[in-house]
Amino acid sequence: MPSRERHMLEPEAVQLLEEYGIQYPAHGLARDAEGAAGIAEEMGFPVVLKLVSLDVPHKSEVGGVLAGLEHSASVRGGFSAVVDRVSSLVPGAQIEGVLVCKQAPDGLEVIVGALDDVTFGPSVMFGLGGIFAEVLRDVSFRVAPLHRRDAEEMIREIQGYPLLSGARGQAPLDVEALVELLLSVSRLVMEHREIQELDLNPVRVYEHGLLALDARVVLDMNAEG
Amino acid sequence: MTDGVDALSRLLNARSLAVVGASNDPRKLGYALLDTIRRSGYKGALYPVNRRAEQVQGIPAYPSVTDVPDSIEAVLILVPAAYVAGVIREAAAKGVRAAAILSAGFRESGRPDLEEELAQTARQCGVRLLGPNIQGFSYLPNRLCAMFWPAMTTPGPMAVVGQSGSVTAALAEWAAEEGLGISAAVNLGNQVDLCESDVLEFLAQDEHTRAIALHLEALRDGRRFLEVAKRVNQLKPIAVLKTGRSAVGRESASSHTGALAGRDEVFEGACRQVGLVRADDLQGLYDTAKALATMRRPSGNRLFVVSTSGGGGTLIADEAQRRGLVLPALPEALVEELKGLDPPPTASLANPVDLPSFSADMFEGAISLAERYEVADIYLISFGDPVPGSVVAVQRLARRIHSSLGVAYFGGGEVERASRIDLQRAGIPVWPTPERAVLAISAAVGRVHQLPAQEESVDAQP
Repeated sequence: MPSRERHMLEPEAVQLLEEYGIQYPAHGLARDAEGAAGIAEEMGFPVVLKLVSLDVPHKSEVGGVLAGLEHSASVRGGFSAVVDRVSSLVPGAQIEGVLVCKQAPDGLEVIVGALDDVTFGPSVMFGLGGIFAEVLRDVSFRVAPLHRRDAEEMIREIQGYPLLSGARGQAPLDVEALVELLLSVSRLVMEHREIQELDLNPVRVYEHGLLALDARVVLDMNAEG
Repeated sequence: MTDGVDALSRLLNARSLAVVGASNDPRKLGYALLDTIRRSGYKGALYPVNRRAEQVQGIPAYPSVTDVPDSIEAVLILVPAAYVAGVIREAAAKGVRAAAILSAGFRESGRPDLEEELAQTARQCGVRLLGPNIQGFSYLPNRLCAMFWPAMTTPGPMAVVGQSGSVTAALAEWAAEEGLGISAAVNLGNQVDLCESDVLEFLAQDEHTRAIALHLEALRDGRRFLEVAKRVNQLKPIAVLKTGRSAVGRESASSHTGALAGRDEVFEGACRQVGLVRADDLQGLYDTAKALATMRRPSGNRLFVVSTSGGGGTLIADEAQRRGLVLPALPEALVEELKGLDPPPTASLANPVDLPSFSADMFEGAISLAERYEVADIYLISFGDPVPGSVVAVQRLARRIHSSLGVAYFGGGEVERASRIDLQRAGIPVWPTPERAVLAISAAVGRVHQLPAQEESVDAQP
């Protein structure tokens, strides 16, 4: 069976996350530079700009993300810069606009994902962000639907767990919110079997609460919606 | 349609069996199959089916299944792949509901069409299939080894289920050679119909099986496997070895999650989810299944070791630490009582206890005392020398104590070789190295920790 896949636009993906109570920073979709500045002024600075295009699923690799914008002028300039850069690197890309997001505070970055495994069906992944997941492969999986105990175990069983529970005098982070996030992702993929892969990368975890900063959702267009 | 457990029961417990493709030519597998069945001591009715011979290996033969004058409970089929579907139809006409297809030459040889035809025919006729492309199955309570080899006559508590014929036979042979024995061995092969989950369901209700060694390559229905394995594992602990590509390599993973879900990660998570013990290799699978089949379920990770050799004790202590087992310190009162056993002056009465003695009774005494002080959850005897009388002493001990008990035996020459078999016949696990003993024990302990708390009421001890 030929695999026909489609990436969801990030605003669509974010809307889906929000239906499942997953926290994402305040955001708005801008069609032009003026609109972007307006959204930023309303939500407050600093903001991040993210290009929205079905033709550019890996937006940060082509300069489609711009962070740390502190005022309206830099948002206006940033809008044009992002659009121009992507247009020249991906000629013909159809650009829907630019997502203006409130920049999130620093925090420990983790990755939460899901995939439709060929053997087990919808499965959920957890790991610490950056090199922990990608280089050390310090990640854990469970088959959805997850029970609370599964979510707790998959957080505890990664090698880097002490970073979450409060290593070296750090305050412990909100593991309970992570458990809820894993359970939400489990519900989401069980109720949307057309989802082939889902990445929340990174998710920033704080002492209280967490924020998903990026959502990538790949749909299998062969699957029954 | 006959359900899977019923079909497997008809095969494994068959009171009458047709062997289609049985041969008089010792160079053929059709010879080996019938020969093994006969040598395994099978007491049911046997009907060789052979188009030309009137007798096969001295037993009256018939040109086709339809020509057999009596009713048949199950058939074993070992004819060229293209003829198998025809035999299924004949068997169905005779009222047979279960067949094992030992023939190869299907999907594994680039003929998925023949496999599809086989599956369709079986469905239409209402015959359930084991195989094709298998070395067969054995069920010791029925004294039936319907395999090319080996003919096994040592019944035991461990069931062996393997996708690969060689792996299935190897595990079964090790168990037979060591005196541990098996209850059942089932080779899954291409699993065109009956699959690992059906066999697990059968073994769950099999009173002769206490634990299961399971070798898997691919799962046809991962979700059903998890549901069944979770349930069966509560009754009959399962050790699993997974080889080959499981989560079929995602060639174009477009997400981090996809790239990180390699061939094994999701399976690993799934095993943890349902509390299956995973082995890293074939030897680990065997050693672990042995622990699950013979030891009382450990109630914790505290290990008490008594060894004839300081070297053996240290090897165990090092490996135990690596595997997450704890060797607790011994209370002063226990040490005083151990002195009362009159150990040699060179003995060291700290855990691991070093008892340079050839007196089996002294080992029995040391563990009895330690258990009275409840110092550990698992008691491991390490014989690093020939210790005469160990079989009687350890058996006596096993009857007396209520904790898990195991033996590592190495460097004991002739005495060891004989004792190892006798101990295992008596249901006491013996491992040939300190490390293998600790690995198996730690796997049995790990399983306890993984099992959901509310489901821990099942005791593996009969």
